[in-house]
Amino acid sequence: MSFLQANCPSCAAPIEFKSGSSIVIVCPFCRSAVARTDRALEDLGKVAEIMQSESPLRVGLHGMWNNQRFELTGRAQLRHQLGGFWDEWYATFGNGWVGWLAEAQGKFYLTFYQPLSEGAQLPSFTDLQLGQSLPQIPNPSGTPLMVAEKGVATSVAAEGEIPYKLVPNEQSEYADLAGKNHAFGTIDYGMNPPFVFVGQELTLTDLGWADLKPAERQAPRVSAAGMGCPNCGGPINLQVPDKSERVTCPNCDSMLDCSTGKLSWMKSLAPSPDAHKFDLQIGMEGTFNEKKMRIIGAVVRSVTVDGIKYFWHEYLLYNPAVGFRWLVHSDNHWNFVEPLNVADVTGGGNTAQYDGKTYKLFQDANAVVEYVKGEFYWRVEQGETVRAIDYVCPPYVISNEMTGNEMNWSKGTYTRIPDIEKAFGVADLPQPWNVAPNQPFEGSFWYTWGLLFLVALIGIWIVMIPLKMESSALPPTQIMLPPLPAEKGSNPVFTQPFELKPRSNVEITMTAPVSNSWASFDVDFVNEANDEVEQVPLDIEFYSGVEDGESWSEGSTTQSTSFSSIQGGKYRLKIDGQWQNWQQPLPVTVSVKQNTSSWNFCCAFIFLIIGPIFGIVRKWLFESSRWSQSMFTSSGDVNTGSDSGDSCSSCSSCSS
Amino acid sequence: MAKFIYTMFAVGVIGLYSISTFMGWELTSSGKNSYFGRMPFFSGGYRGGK
Repeated sequence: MSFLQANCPSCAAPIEFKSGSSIVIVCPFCRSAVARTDRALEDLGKVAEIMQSESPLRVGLHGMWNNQRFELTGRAQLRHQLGGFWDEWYATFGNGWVGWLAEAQGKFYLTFYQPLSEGAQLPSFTDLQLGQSLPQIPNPSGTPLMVAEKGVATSVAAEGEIPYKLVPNEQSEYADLAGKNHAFGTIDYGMNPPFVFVGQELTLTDLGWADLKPAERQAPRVSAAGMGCPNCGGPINLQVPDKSERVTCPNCDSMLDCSTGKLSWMKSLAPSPDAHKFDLQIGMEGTFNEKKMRIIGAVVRSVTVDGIKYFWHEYLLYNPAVGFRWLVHSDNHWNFVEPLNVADVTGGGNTAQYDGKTYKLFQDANAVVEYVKGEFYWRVEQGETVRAIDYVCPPYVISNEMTGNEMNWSKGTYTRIPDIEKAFGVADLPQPWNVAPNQPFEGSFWYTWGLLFLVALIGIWIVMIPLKMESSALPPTQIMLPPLPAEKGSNPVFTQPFELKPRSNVEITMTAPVSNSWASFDVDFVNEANDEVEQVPLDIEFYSGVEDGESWSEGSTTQSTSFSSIQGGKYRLKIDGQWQNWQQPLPVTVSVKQNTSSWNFCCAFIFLIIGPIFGIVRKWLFESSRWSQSMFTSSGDVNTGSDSGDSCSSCSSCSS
Repeated sequence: MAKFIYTMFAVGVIGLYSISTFMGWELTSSGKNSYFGRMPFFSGGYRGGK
């Protein structure tokens, strides 16, 4: 098809098909969708006015991608079946390419028509499953795309030129696909066979629009000024009027719909079953990752485990540049939650992998919306239920929330209370009483540094081995002690001289053939150079017998003692003693060694192992407390020993 | 504070073990009939004699 100037069949105003690929053009005067066929122009009906938003894009905008210039020549606005809108901009390239630039919640996805290889078949819309891989669809990531969402879209508005026959309010089934490295795809089941579009998520900078700013338009969907609750007339101040679908009245606790451009009353909210009130308020601003985020909504959710309902709070945060984030408040623990690309998470079952980390299954339950406050970008309802599966790898938790049509992954980062207080400028937030699923253990110092000290001790011991090898100063020497002149008399005997090394401990060993008797010795180490003396007493006693047919013994015929190093040099032993049979001579054997093993190392080891044992015990108790809250054990088995029921009496966040 | 105290304690234990091993000090008892509780002493120093 080619460039065409014509008149609108509805109002006769001049219209112009600038792009050769355009099938439909929206008349800028009467908003009729005019299709060109081979024979004539066809009026397809009126399309609604485009709902303006903060989008920086507009029809006629030029951009650059992959070194190719393009122009946004048309725009189709579609409504999600759960409420909410997104735009699809028709991008016409100078080299003849035509692509679609989808814009949703501040993100941009550029896709192009992707023909499938011959024989490749796609599942039907009904058979398509969330999380299903579709390897038959080629894509830039090189890994199969995964089904992230399936639903029904309604074409509600358009402007400019559209390359297909857009019928106003026509519904079509679609499936969104996600892949690694920001790959993205869409299957349009409105066509037969379905059309596949593949591309990737991009930023405005990638498209040559680094300087584009959000359009400063008065969001006409719902004006922030002068809105009153249709039920009680109280003032309603919307924080994000162009994105919000539902808002609650803070005065009469009504749920209001704001998706149609005006507030309409839906119903009165049932009171929150959670006794604990929100700790943060709507409208508060806090800084996270250097971005100022405002609380625009708050939700009370619950899961029921073993018949006990556990509540927690979630705060919806918004920043125009970042989009939506969540702050989860559970058992007085806080997590900052961000969305993840579905395709970046692999695994399932007992573990999941994301960003090089393995996350363990912690919880798998149905999460129910119990109460809402503020405004929300989807048609939230009390009683809304999703299946929520949590995996933990402290300090992170990744959560998979699934409805029948959509699967989302998000990542929570444990945030300490002082950081929350600092972010929002509040104080005295209540303290937790248990261990959060992804709370990091902060006592690793005791077993990391503690073991390091032990390793240092062992290292020094190893180094000292060759330097302090055991040596014999006086080999075993037999000495005959002559009989004593009297029972308490003295008759010392000297040994041959021997050498003692400095800086080495000394061990003396004596053996005496006592039997049911004793011997007591005073051994003097006499320094031959300066006559200095080190005195060492040694007592030997040995008794044995038979009693009631059993033999017994006590003591030993050999005794040894050790003492710290003395001055090096030549020494003699002067052995003096008394023994029971003092009238008889006593043959004794004496030996002296140095660098014998001592208790120094054992005592040092015992002192230093206290820290690691303390740390390991604390870690074990901490992890036990963490996993006692889970439906599963740390190895993925169902937790039959969970004491989550016992905690009911000590916390305020559950009801039974 | 507890971590600092433990670190100082551990460094002290390692230091004391190192120096006692190098100097040949016997800080605790060894053997059945030995000087339990005797303080370490440096080489040299008169202890008594005849």
